[in-house]
Amino acid sequence: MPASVILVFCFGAMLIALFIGFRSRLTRSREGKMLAFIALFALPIMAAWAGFSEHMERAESTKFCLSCHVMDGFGKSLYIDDPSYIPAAHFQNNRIPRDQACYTCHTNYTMFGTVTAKMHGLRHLWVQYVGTVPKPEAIKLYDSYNNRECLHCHLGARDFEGGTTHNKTADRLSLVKSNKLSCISSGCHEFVHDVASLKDATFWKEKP
Amino acid sequence: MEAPAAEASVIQPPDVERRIKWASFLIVAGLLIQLGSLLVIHPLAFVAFLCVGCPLIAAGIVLYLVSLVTAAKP
Repeated sequence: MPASVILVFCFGAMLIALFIGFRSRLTRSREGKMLAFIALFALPIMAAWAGFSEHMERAESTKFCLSCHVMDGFGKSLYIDDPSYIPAAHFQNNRIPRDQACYTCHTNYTMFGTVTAKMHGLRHLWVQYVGTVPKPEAIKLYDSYNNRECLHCHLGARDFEGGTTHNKTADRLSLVKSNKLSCISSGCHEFVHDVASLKDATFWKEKP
Repeated sequence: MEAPAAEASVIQPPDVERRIKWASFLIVAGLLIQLGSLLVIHPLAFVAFLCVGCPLIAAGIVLYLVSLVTAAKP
């Protein structure tokens, strides 16, 4: 549902609730009771649910993830002018949706992957506003990166399945697919978000 | 003998109306915070929605339900 529709819906629900608040005597009649039920029960629940759903969707946006200062370096790393940097190459070549760049790679494509990612997000909020914010270089993944997240898009793709490097040995492809040989930590695609060396990097400037 | 009309007004104790009034104001406050939080994309907007807006809406709904239950008592 578009955000503008949710805003209009919430505003409408608010006006009706306000009307009942100032005209509470209306609830003496049957019609008034029905209106009060809609205004003070049905519409607020629907509006709150729509708002919650919209907030959940917004939490997947790149802008949301990068709105905390500690994430600045990770955002900059998407613009490194070097195709060997995996996040930069994916972001700049639209291999992932740019407005959901973080979420696309950092959610687990499992049944409860989205829930787990949201729970991690809540923990990040807690650390950001209540806890001690770590240095960007100290931020690590919760678990080692699972190939499943790469294979979600690359499995079956021609350049992945038929690539010479991927077929260098007979069992390499099957090892990658079974997550026994990591895509990023086995010396193949090891340049990910190297926020410690951003000072020396050159950045891609998107043409307007 | 004429039966009373279905839409005839029923006398309610003023307590119920006062609760309904408070319930509506709580819900309006919660929805206002929700509206404000939807205007910006920021983690704090989400926190405001979840920690302030939602509890206000929930409190308003509960107060309204309480007013219904108390009004139903003889």
